[in-house]
Parts: sequence; C-alpha cells; structure tokens
Amino acid sequence: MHRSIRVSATVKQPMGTKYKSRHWAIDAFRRLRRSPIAMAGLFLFACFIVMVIFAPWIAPYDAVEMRIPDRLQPPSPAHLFGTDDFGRDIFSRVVWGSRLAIRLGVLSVLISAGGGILLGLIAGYYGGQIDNILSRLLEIIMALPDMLFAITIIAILGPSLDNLVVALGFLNWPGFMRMTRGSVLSAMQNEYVEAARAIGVPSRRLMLRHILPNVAAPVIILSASRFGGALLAGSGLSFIGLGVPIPQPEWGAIMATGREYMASAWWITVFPGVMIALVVLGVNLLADGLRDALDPRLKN
Amino acid sequence: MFRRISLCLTIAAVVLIVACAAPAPTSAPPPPATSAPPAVSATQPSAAAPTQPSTVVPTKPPEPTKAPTVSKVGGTLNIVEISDPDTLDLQQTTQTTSGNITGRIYEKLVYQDLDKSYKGLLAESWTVSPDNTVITFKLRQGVVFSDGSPFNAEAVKFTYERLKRIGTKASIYPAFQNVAKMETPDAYTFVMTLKEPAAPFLHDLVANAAGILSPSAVKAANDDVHRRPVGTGPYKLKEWKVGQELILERNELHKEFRVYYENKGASYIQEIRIKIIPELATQLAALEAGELDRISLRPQDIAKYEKDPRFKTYDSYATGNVYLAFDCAKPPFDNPKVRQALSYPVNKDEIVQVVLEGKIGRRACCPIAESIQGYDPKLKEYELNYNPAKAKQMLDELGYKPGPDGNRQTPDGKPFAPALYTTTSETFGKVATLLQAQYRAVGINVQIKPMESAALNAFTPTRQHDLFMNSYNWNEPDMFTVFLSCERLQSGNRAQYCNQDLEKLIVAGRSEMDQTKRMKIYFDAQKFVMEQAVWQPLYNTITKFVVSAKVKDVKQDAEGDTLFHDAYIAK
Amino acid sequence: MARYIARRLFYSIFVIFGVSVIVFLTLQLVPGDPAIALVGENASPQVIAQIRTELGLDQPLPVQYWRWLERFLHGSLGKSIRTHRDVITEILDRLPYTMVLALSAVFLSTTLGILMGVFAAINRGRLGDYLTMGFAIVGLSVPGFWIALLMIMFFALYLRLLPVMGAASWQNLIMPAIALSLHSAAQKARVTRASMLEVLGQDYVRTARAKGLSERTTLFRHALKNALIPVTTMIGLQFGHLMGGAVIMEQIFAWPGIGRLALQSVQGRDFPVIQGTVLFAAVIFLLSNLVVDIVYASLDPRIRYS
Repeated sequence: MHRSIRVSATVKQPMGTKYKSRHWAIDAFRRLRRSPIAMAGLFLFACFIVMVIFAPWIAPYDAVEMRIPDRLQPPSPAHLFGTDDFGRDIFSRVVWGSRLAIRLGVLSVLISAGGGILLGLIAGYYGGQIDNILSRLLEIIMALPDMLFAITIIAILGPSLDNLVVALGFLNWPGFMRMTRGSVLSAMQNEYVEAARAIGVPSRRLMLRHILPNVAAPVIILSASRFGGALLAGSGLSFIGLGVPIPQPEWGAIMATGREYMASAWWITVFPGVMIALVVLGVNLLADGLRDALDPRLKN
Repeated sequence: MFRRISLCLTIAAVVLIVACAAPAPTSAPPPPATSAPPAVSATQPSAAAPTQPSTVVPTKPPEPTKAPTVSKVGGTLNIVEISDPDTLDLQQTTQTTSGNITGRIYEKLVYQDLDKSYKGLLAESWTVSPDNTVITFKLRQGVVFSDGSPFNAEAVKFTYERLKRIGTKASIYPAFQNVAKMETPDAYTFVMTLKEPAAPFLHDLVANAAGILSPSAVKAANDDVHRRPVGTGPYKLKEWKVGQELILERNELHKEFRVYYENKGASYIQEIRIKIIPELATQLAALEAGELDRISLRPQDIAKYEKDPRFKTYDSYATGNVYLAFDCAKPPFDNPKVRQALSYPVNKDEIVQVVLEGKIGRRACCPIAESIQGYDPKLKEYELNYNPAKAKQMLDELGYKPGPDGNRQTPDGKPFAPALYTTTSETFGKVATLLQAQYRAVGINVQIKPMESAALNAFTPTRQHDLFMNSYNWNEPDMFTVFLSCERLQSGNRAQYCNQDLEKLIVAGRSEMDQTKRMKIYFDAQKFVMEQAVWQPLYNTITKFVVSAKVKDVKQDAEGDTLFHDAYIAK
Repeated sequence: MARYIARRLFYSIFVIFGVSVIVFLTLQLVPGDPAIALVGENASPQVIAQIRTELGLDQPLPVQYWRWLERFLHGSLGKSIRTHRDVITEILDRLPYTMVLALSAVFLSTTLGILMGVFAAINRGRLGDYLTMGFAIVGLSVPGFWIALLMIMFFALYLRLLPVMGAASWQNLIMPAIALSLHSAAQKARVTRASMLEVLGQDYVRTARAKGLSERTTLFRHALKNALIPVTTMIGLQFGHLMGGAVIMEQIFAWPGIGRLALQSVQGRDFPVIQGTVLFAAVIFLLSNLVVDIVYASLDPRIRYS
C-alpha cells in the first residue's frame, strides 16, 4: 500500500571513520519541527498526555461519583460536558478515561510490536524453513476475521481492559512482523552486513546493532498509526459491551451509556467521540509527519 | 423569469423539507361502524392483588345489540420482540420470546381466569381423586388443529409423553417427572396419575411448554417442530424471516373457550407480524413511524405517550420479582449474618426512582411477588430495609474492616471484592451500576460481571459467583421449589441454598390442598427466607405497553398483559 | 497462469485448515458446557452425560477435530445449539444482507476515495489538496460507530428523513453504508493521491505529455490506471473484511447480517455457529484476495513468477 520505507542507518558510516554528521534521528526531528501537520499532531497528542498525567487536577469530579438530583443535565458551567443518567459528570469521566485510552493504546502496540518485531527478525534473518513456517502462520492470522476473533477472545477471557489489549495486540502482530521482515531482508542485502556475516560476527550482535536500527523508523511510524487503530477498535468493542467492565469510563463505554438517551441527552454520545477523534487525529498527523520527516531524507 | 423560477424552486424545496420533517400524519380513526356494545376493557379486580388499570373505559352510551354490519376481520397487528425465538418447539425452550409466540399458536388444557381461578380450555372439565393423585380430564369435542387434524386424548398423551422424553429444557420438565402414568380410556378422556399429590399441578399445565401438539403434524414435519408448529390456537405460523420478523396468520378453524372473551370463534385480526428489533430506541422510532402497533415503553418516554391521543397505555405486572441472591454455598456467604450485612446497603427506592423512573417497577419486599398468590404485605416487617449505618456496623463486627485504600477487607486481610453476576440486559446493567455505588458507599468494591442469559444459567451451579441478580417468572407460590429448593441446586436455585427446615415447608406447601393452610405454609417459608437473608428482593417489574389507538377492544389479563382476541383494527 | 492459480489455491486451502485449527483450539477455551447449552439445566446428569458422548465431547481433542473435519468435508458445518438449524442455513440467511452492505460500502468508498485522491493530486499544493486530504485524515481518525450514532441522531431522530434501523428497504442501507465506507474512503483517497503523484512524475508520463496527448488522456489513461493498482488490493482486503460482518455497525443499525449472528452466537456460547462464521469469513477473505491477485497476475506477468 505505501511505498516500503528503506531505512539504513549505515549509509553514512563507512567502516572506521568517526561519525561526523548528525545522527539521523536529530535530523528527522528537525524536519518534523518544520512540518505544520506534524506539529499540529504533536500538539494534540501533547494535550492528551497532559490530560492523562494531570487528570486528578483537571477533572472536577470523580469518575464514578453519582449525583442523582443532577441527572441528565445538559452542558453547563458546573458540568462542562453535562451529566449522564446517574448524575455522573461526563467531563470528569472523559478526563479519567484518557488514562484508560493511553493504557489501551500503548499496551496493545507494545504487544503487537514486541511480538511482531521478534518474529519478523527471526523470519528475515534465518530465512529458509523458519521463514516459511512463520510466514504461513502470519497468513493464517491475517485470514482470521479480526472483529469476530477479538470478540471470541474476550468471551473467553472476560471483559476487561487488559484482555482487550491482549486481543487487539495479538491481531496486529502480522503487520509488524511483515514490515520487520521486509526491513530485515533489505538490510541483509547491504554489503556491510554481508561482509560482517562473512567475517563471522555473531548473529545476535548483527541483529541488534546493525539490522534493528533499520527497522526503527518504520516501526515508530507503524506504532503511531496502530495506536490510533487500537483506540478505535477498543472503544468500538467497549461500546458493544465487550471491553471494560462497568463502571470504568472508557470513552466507548461512556458512549454506550448514552445509547438510550440519544434523542434527549446528546452530550453523552457526542463528547467522548470527539475525544477519540482528536486523539487519533493527533497520532495520525504525527505519523504522517514522521513518515515525511524520515522518508525523503533517505531517498538521497 | 429566472428569478421567478428560482423562487418557485426555493418554495418547493422548503415545502419538501418541512413535509419530510413533520411527524408522519396519522389519520384519526373513524368511529367504528355500528356493532355490539364494546366490551369493558378495564380489568376485573382480582382477589390477590389490586391492579391499577390505566385504560380508559370507553364512554359511549350502551347500544342495543345488533349484528355487526361491517366485518371486523382483517388488518395487521405489528408487535415486536428483541430477538428471534430460539425455537418454536415449546417443549425445548424457556425463552420468553419463544413463549410469547407459541402462546398464540398452541393452547393448553386449562387457563387462568381474570380472578386467577383455573378453568378449562381444551379440557371441558376435570375431576380429582380423593387422594389427589389421579386427575381425569374430560376433553372438548369438535376441536381441530390448524391443519385440520383432530384434537383428542391421543394428542394430549402424545404431547406429554414427548415432553417427558425430550423436553429437558422446558421449565415444567421436572414437574412432569411426577407423572406416573397417562391413560386414554376413550377418545375424549385423559387420565393423569401422579406419584405424589401436587397442588401446583394445574399451574404447570398452564405453562408455555404445556401446549398441545398435533401428533400427525409432528410426524409429518419429521419432528421438526422447531419451525413448523401446528396448534389449536388463534394463529398459525405463516412465515419466519430470520432476524427480521415472524408472520402469524389467523387460524379460521379456531374456537375460543375462554370466558372473558366475547369472540368465540377465530380472531378478528388477520395477521400478526412480530418484528425483531433488539434496540428499544429503534422500537420507539418504529412505533412513531407507524411500523409497530405495540411496544413496551422506556421510563423516559412514558409521560409523553400517556398523554398522546394516538395511543393507549396499559400496565402489566410481572409474575415475579427482580432479586439479588447470595451464593449461600460459598463462604463467607454461607453465614446468614454476612448476608444480612450485605442486604442493608441496598436502597430499593433509589433503584426504582433512578433506573425505573418510578414508573416501570415497584419495590418488592418478599420472595413471592405482589402479583402472585401467596403474597402477604404483613411480611414487610421482616424486610431488610436500606440502612447503610447498620451495614457498616455489622461488617465491622464481622471483621470486614476497611483497608488502607478504603475498601473493606476480609478478616484475613484480603480485599473483599464480591462479584455480581447478572444478564446483559440494559436495565440490569443500570441496576447493577447503582448497586455497585450503594455498596461502594459502605466500602465494598463490587465487580459487575454480565453474562448472556443461557450462559449465566449454566454458570450458577458451579458456585463461582458471589452475588447474582436476575428476575424470576413463576405464577405460583410454589416458586419455592423452582428457585429455593434443594432439588434444584443444579438449575433454578441460583442462591445455591439448601436448608432442611425450608425444604420441609416447601414439600408441605406442594402437597397441601387446603387453600388457607397452604397460604400459611408459604407465609412461613417467606419469613424464613427473609430472616436468613437468602435473597434480597429488589422490585417487581411493571411493563408499560403502549398500543396504537387504531387497535380497538384490547383486553388485559389478570396481570395486565394485553389480550387481542376481541380486538380488531379500525379501518 | 494456471500454475499460478493452482499454487495460490493450494496455499489458500492450507491457510483455511490453519484457521480451522486455531478456531477449534480457541473454542475449547470458551467457558461453558455445550452439552448443558443443548439440553438445558433441568436435564438429569445421565442425560447430560449422554449428550456429551453424542457430541463427542469426551473424546481427546485431535479426535474431536478429526470428526469435525470429516463433517466439514462432507459439506456440513454442524447445527446451531440455539436454533437447531444447520449452521450453513443460518449463515446463508444472513449472507445477502452482509453482501449488500459490503458491496455498497466498497462501491461508495472506492468512488469517493478515488475522486478525492485524483482531485487532490491534480490540485497538489493548493487549497483543494489540503482540504481534501484534511478531510481524509479526519475520516481516518473518527470512530465509525460514532459517526453512525451521529447520523442516526441527526437524520433519523431529528430530521426523521431516514429509518432508524432494520433492513426493510433501500433507505435503511444509506446510513450503515456511509458509516462503513468512511474510513476506507479516506485510506483510498490518500493512497490514490500518493500513487498518482508518483506515477505522474515518471518518465513514460512525461513522454506521453511530450508526444502532445491532452492532459486528460495522460491522466486518465496512463496515470490513473497504474495508480489504481494499490487501490485494487485495498478493495480486495476491504470486501473480504466486510464479508466477515461489520459487527458493530450491524448491532447499531439492527442490520441482520453475519456480524450480528457472530455476536449473538459468541454471547450465547453457540460453538458450531461461532466456528462456522469465523471459517466462512476467512474463506471469503482468502477468495477475495485470490481474485485480486489473479487479476494482478493477468495484468503483470512478473508477478506470476515471484
């Protein structure tokens, strides 16, 4: 779908010379700073992080505290996003829910990336039968209908944020594995690596110091977009009741509580969705900016 | 000229938008053509529980009886269920949806009149032997199934033998194990011999699963009664579009024997369409659009529809309570004091006010619901009323003190976080959320675990739950056998409670034929259960039906459920 | 060419079996006893034990899988525990609805995506480009089910223009199809734009321009055709994915498709149906990819020999 990104940190490193030019990461960050798109994404994401860290100070109320007399109030100065059918402040719930969102996103990306990269490294490096078997396994996982499988896994493990993370993380392995494998294969064709292999540099060292850095940039970009994907899928599953347990304020779960009141209390449905959209937008913009920052530089 | 055209177009566009946005106009129903005086549609006051009818008695002056000049036959009644029935084989399901549909297709030997007494439906009359074990039914003659096959004693015997053989899922299956033998001395006499006398037996014969099947139809369908039901009821299955709707059509061969119906023949309404719509909000939209004629209302919509002239509302009381049960086989809930301490934090009034908006339920005190025989308001003095202070005190005394994070811990220092299992129903989810908050107020961190109904039912015998919440439905004081007896630990006894003293009362109540003595037994049984805090009954569900005003002459049964046999669609 | 197809088919069959093994193993872990689900809890322990033997639940796992496989090869996916109908019948009942929704979503997203992408590529660097791509990235970021809910709130509840739920007529199709196509349209727009820009910069296009062919011919005959290659892959993936049933959308709109069936069967522990739907979705997905690959192979001979 996207042009495969060939990252090679070793391009500028002839053997033996001292490392004169700037590290590619610093250079990339400079380019990132110049892109308004990436900066906008970074800003949104930074706001999100601020919300996560400072939730106890930003949220005026507790996430589960019920104020029955104030049920179903529209947005007002006292309740910025209104209240739900139990009198819980939606703004506070959304703010506290950011902690669930980041946990969902980060953990599932870690699982996908961790597993995927490991398998991709092994498959790409050792090649042959191992590569064959792993690639077939990858195809099988990719053929699984992801929603159905996620639902089944949650039915087994029970609804909880961490189980959601496991289900989503597992299903995204193939993406990372494929990308890693591709990067590894292309890196292995590099003369430097071939030479090092011929000399007898131990494979683990090769993998870690010379091949892995190649993979870094595409992994970062894929992680950013998978973070958004996990957030979208996770909130969708919570919406149909297969995510976090009652009464955790995951954004999709909050929207589910507003289902009955779509005609009368639109604020319960609207605001959490806006939050999800903003955070995912931020990450997507960031991913786009990163892609641009890391890619054209390498085409020279 | 150009300006004029654009002006016309603008006006046309505005008109279009306004027309689409305005609610669908409903034509005012024309006054019904001269007909027999409309039957009073208020419920008869019943002996056991006063029902509050919300229908308005029509105020037309009584007209002299005249033969109808315009046929009432015709029209379609559109009703709704939240899911497909799992099967239409009434002997192999306990699903309410299935029962609602098969209840229109099949009939039983007996029925309950508006005063809750049992009368003969397919049975003309019956006699009971002095030792109460032999029941001899005299069956009605001249009744046929919708496919023309005859109704007779052979059909009844075939039906109940099949029930005993494969009806393991039916709610009355255990009751039928009590049937020693069944005989058909002649074509219209059916004799049932019980192993032990059973006072509730007539109630079992009224259950959904007790409908009579046609032997020839079952054989012709190769026993695939799941999708090809044939009964003597007012309707037969015309079509079933899975996931969308079931279409029932009028059975012209039907004869009606219930005394509270004026119409003694086939029904007037030609077709009943049962649409499958799982979302309550969607049902409401369909009602507004005229696609449905009857739905049950969510609390927030009730006020609006009670005043709406296009509709009429009816109250129906569930024959059972929504209750909270403890897993009495699992420590620490085997200790009655712990159960009592956990009953006091429950604020039933708050539940009724907040979740049910004070409208679709009334608080319940006792195991037997207000709408069931055996209910006694004097039992309220044993109710464990909302008292968080007392709960905290008892918990402290029992050693469940708050830990460093504020949540209570067990006496040996572990976090006390009981799991509350319930179904995935939206309403129960809200009740559970509120209960969770009420328990949190006394320092207990309750985990909510929703499970799909069938899975939940299979789960409780494993005794892994701590708290359980669901509703029961059993229109007989012998709900004790089904839900609180030792013999049902593997099925309906969600509290996993088995106590020999209670068991003696239950068995006695089952076989006591004297009504006064029987009611005293159930008074004692309820008192026992309430003092032992086995259950904490929460509320009795009230279903508010709203029916399109174009459906005339809707009646209500003893619990308030809508009856349509005398009803017709105004043209 | 035939050898290419044969090879791909062989791989696909292998993958299907792999999927079936994974699903089978996973279902062993789902809590709940299928025997009790079948006969109900009032049945005596003897009856339950008998049913377990009949269902073969007391056999070791490989034997159970083998029996299932045998039945599968004879064309049966078993019977639903809930409704006693053949699993295949249950799926086929829902298939037309899922198909209609999937095709509509694919059609909408492809049309919208390509139009947007081409428009953005032509107007590269100008306002049109930014607006279109801005719209695209927002479309990628908003939760589809949220858009669905907003549409219901606005078009059905407030304006009363469209029906809230169900699958009664073509009006019911509009909102679910739009909600489903949004995300994919955004992806296709971005990919189309990128591909077109890449192609437009290449030599043969410059040659075509130099030859004097009109801008239009250049664009639509050469650039677009090549730019569509990645979009075709996406179509295959999207269709395959949607035929697995759009669980959440179907739930929101009460659309009687395979997704709803799957959700009901997972909640109801109806194992045969869960297995059947997952397998069915996987088969369609693989077939869909296969078709796309064959189309490529016929267009680009190099692929056949890779």
